[in-house]
Amino acid sequence: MYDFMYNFPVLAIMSLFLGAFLNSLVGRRNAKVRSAVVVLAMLAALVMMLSLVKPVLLDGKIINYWLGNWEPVEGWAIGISLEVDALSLFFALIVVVAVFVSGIYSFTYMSHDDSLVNYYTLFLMLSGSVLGLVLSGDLFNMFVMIEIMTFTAVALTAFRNHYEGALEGAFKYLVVGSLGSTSVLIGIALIYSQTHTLNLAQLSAVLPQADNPVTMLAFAFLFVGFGSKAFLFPFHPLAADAHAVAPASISLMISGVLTKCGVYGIIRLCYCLFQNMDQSFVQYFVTGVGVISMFVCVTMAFNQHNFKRLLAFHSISQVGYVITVVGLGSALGLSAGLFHAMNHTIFKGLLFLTAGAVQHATGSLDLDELGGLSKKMPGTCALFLIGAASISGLPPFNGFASKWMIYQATFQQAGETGNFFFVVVCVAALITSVLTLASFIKVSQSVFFGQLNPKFANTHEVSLGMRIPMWILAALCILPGLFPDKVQQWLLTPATQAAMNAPGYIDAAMGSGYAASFAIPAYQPQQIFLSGAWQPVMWLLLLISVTLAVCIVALLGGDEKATVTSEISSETDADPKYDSFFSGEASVYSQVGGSDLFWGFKHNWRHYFSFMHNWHSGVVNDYTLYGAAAIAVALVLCVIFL
Amino acid sequence: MKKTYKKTPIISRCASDLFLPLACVFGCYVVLHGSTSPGGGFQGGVLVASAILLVYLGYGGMGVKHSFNEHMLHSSETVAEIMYVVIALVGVFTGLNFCVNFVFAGQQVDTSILMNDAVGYHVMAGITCLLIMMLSVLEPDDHPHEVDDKEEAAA
Repeated sequence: MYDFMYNFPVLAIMSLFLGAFLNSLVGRRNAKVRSAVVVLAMLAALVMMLSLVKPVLLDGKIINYWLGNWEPVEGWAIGISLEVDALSLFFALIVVVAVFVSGIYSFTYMSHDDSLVNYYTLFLMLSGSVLGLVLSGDLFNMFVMIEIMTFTAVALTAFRNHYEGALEGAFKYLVVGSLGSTSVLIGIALIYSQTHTLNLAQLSAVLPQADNPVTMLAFAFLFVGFGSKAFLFPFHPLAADAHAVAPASISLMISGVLTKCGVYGIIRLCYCLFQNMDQSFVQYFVTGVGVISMFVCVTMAFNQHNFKRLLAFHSISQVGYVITVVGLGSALGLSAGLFHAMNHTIFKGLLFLTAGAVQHATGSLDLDELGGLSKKMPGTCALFLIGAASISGLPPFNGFASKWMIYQATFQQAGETGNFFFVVVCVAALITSVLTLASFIKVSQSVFFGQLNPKFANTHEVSLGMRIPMWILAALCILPGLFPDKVQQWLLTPATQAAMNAPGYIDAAMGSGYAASFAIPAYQPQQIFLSGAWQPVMWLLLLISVTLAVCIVALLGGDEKATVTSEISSETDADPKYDSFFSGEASVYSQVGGSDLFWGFKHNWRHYFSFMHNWHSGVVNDYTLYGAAAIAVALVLCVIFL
Repeated sequence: MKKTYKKTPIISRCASDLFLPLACVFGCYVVLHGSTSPGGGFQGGVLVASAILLVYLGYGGMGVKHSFNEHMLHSSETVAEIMYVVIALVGVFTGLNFCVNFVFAGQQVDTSILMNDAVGYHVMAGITCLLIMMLSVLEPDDHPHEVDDKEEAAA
């Protein structure tokens, strides 16, 4: 059986691509056949990846697959390979789970759209390309998969092209995304000119020794290219424009899966290909980019009036957390980053799906217009609160578990090196988390609590087909939060050790002793040591008891206290806001909007916000310029300091 | 139908008749010979697909419409993609690796000759579809007078 399981990586990628092709052949007429093909393709990929968990993650094998049996000869790997170590499989698991949930959700969510055969074909191609990227053992194949990924994502962003701004968002994504892809291509060309090979394992052996200006330029180009795929600063405005108009299932894919490809690329680049994570410049550089993305995007999210645009900025902010700790270069930091990357896919996926459910039920995403939906859509509201608590890092959800590790990693780094920079990083991470919580209080007030807009009086809860995927994600939000030590043991430790074990990765592909012949020392497994501890189950009990207490108080309090505003308004038949003390037109619907909650904060920061407002001009020329500037800055910094 | 064709000049029609088979045969030659000589599926496929431009030059947009079925082309494009994957997968199910040479094992030619054919077929169908789309934009409006009438009425 194990001999055949060896084929599973390539079969999983091919099942998704074959599903896409079959779908466009047979799915045009019959919706049932189409759904069956899509489900089978996704399920095949999911099952194959899950079945690899035991050999790769638990037993620590590295699957090495040479397409067409073109194995390396005399230390030169010319053939195309797939190399699946624990790090690749970790990201592959994130991908297949997110794809499965998104696909199931699409069946109901997209049912009112036409030309669905194109949607599912593009969707499966996107999934296949992302899976191919994380499993690939060849740098150029990674580029090919990035290109397929970018173009299918652009097409899917513009799929509902009747939305205002859909084509504009897709166009921006296309232009600036191509800038990132080109940057990757230039980096690959420079590396190929220097080392004459494209195999990741062979490059990992050759590149650390080839310490010349050309490979430094290649590092800068590849870093900016992968960073643009993760929408790091200054590529983040793209994500907002694309997310706001894309269907919710595609927003899940873009935020949960595509950004992870960028993160995977950066981890492979720094830990495996160049192995320069121990240099202090690389640590400052990667961590700095992460901190800026994290902080800028969370403040940008504060001012948004569109539900999904706000979520998009938070998405980049959370990816900023991941990159921040990945840049620390310690085993604890990397495993915290991987944990947060996994959790980010789960809770951000859940939040995007609830936004999609709100949009499906009301037809609106405007935070100033929505309100009071908790009475109409209680299930969605509960799911949203789970997601919001997770992303804000409240115990006992998964966001807390990973953020707790992030704080510890930055704190330990600051303690060990005595460097003030890492103290700032730790504080910035804490502040960002607080701002995230504030921002989600605003969203829950604007969408689910407060007064119901009369326009949406006939809103109904979404159907079961959309709620089941959301419940799956909600369960995944709670479980890792309750059992972080199991996640650490089964997923994070193998993936972290695999990422740091470059000699093992090289020897698995090129034959044992190859890494030693390039003077790469054998890897000593690093201990992942947590300085703090907490009891997740106790926190769950506390949460349940507090919730029960609040419910009892609310029930005992009776109706007269809970519905003060509605009583007054039913007597006078007017909004009390427009009594004689206030002036204004009573005909306009208004509530205490979520955006009014933090007016003091916004007022004090008005100069910063107006600067950021002008900076995010929405002009594609400006965004391309920022991208080009990012490449230029990265090049200059890498040439001077690396 | 003959009347519509007669609108195009006879020289371009004759030239199109003369070069159409040549373009097709040369394209097919490049596809079939792709595994041993420069060229291959993609280049040959584009050459065959360029034949549609000759049809357009000789017989105009109507000629293209009558001689090509866009839906069939689109389906055959998909069939070619599936063929490619299946040829590659046969390697796995015969107990060897993906993309492995299973037909001509031990000979100088490899399975890439079959994959080349699939790619050639795919590119031919795909580029022809694209060209039909582009040519349909070039086509003059079928009812120009009606539009004028409406505009006049509106004025």
